[in-house]
Amino acid sequence: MSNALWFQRTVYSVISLLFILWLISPQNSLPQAIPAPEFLLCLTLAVILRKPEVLPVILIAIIFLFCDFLFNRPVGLWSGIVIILTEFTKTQYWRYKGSNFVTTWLFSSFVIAFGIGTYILILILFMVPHTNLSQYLVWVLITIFSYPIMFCVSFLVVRSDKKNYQDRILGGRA
Amino acid sequence: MARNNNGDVSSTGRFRFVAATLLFIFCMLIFLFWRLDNVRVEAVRLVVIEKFVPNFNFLLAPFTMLQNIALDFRSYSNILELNRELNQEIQQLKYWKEQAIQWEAKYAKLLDLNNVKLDPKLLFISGVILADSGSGFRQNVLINIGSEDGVRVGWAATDGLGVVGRITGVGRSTALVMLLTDTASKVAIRVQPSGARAVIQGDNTKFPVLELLEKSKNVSAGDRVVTSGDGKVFPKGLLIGRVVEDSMGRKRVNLSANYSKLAFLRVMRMNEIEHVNESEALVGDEIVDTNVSTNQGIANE
Repeated sequence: MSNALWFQRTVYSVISLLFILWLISPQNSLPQAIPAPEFLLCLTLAVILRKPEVLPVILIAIIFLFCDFLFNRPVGLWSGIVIILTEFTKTQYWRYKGSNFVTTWLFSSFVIAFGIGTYILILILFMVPHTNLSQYLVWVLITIFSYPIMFCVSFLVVRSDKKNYQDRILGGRA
Repeated sequence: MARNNNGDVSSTGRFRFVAATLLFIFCMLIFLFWRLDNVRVEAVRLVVIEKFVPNFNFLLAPFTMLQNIALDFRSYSNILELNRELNQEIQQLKYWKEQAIQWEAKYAKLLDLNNVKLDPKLLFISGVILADSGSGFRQNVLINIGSEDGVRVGWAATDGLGVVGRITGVGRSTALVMLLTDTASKVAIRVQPSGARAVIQGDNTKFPVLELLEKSKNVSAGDRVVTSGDGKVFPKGLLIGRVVEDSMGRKRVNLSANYSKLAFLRVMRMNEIEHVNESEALVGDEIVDTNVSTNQGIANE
């Protein structure tokens, strides 16, 4: 069991690394109207909602702090918020254990919106230079819409387990 | 897993809570520290980036290639239109070529009259872009030259035509370039031909805003925007772009550098101006000029 857990953690880390590399690979340097979605948060939430033991808080903290450094974000703020979000999601895991995908998507959407809202609020509070708010709104939306993709990706980390988790699109508890 | 609904309130659960709280506080402390003592944390950031990016560069290559293929494919679709535009442009360029030849002759003559010797040192160092900023909210690139190559913070980076950004961090073999479009980027400029001073401020759009523009009545769309050299870290007279006006009537800058296809950057060496003040530097038969201003001075004529 423990071996399987470590394997899943490794897979999660590797996938995160690939996403980071994809995001920082030099591409069009013009400012984009649509920012890249926060894929890693979606993946993390999807994995937690399917099997919370896979992601200890320390792993999440390391990966997101690393992202803060690489992405030129204010160091520590986003990772701090993500720690809160994921810990909250872990406490809610039992509530959503048997429910279908759409319900968890809605739940994740609220978590994502709350997280990014807090983020921008703190940026304003600490007077960190930031872009206009509409772009953050776009970020929230695009992140929410990228959740289903990352839900599919999360099957690479945690295999489908029909007994426990929301592996059907709609339909009640198992 | 033996856990269930009730088993969660156990020693492991409590430990997890404490660990999460500590990590959260740790992150927030870093953030506060970053806000208060930016320079030190940014130095740590560069160390992290420098440890990571060059080592994983081989993994970045396939991603870059894929992206380039996608870009190329997109450019094929409007190749006909492009061809027509290019033909027109060639006509215009021929005219400019004539002008350039004439100016070159004039320049040579003037140089001869002045007997100026240009600085034999390299005027610029070229670097390859290693990585982008991963999010849409910051506009930086990482290049593969650093303090080993003599790069210093504050130097200008261009793409050969126009200014792209400013060096904001230097590692041993990498340097971070903040693009003009970043929200934290501010560069002192002058608008030609009126000579009005202003600050070009990025706002995460393709067209940075002109702030603190003096004599704004004399400035109209199409005017050239060049660096003013105020602050003495940025070379004077580098081309940035042209003035445009947005629908709100705000003056913005259409950047000359081709941001959509940045691959190599030129970092302009800035000779320290203090050296000229020393008396020994002025004695002797060679008077070394800051070449950048000489070159651009001619171009501005």
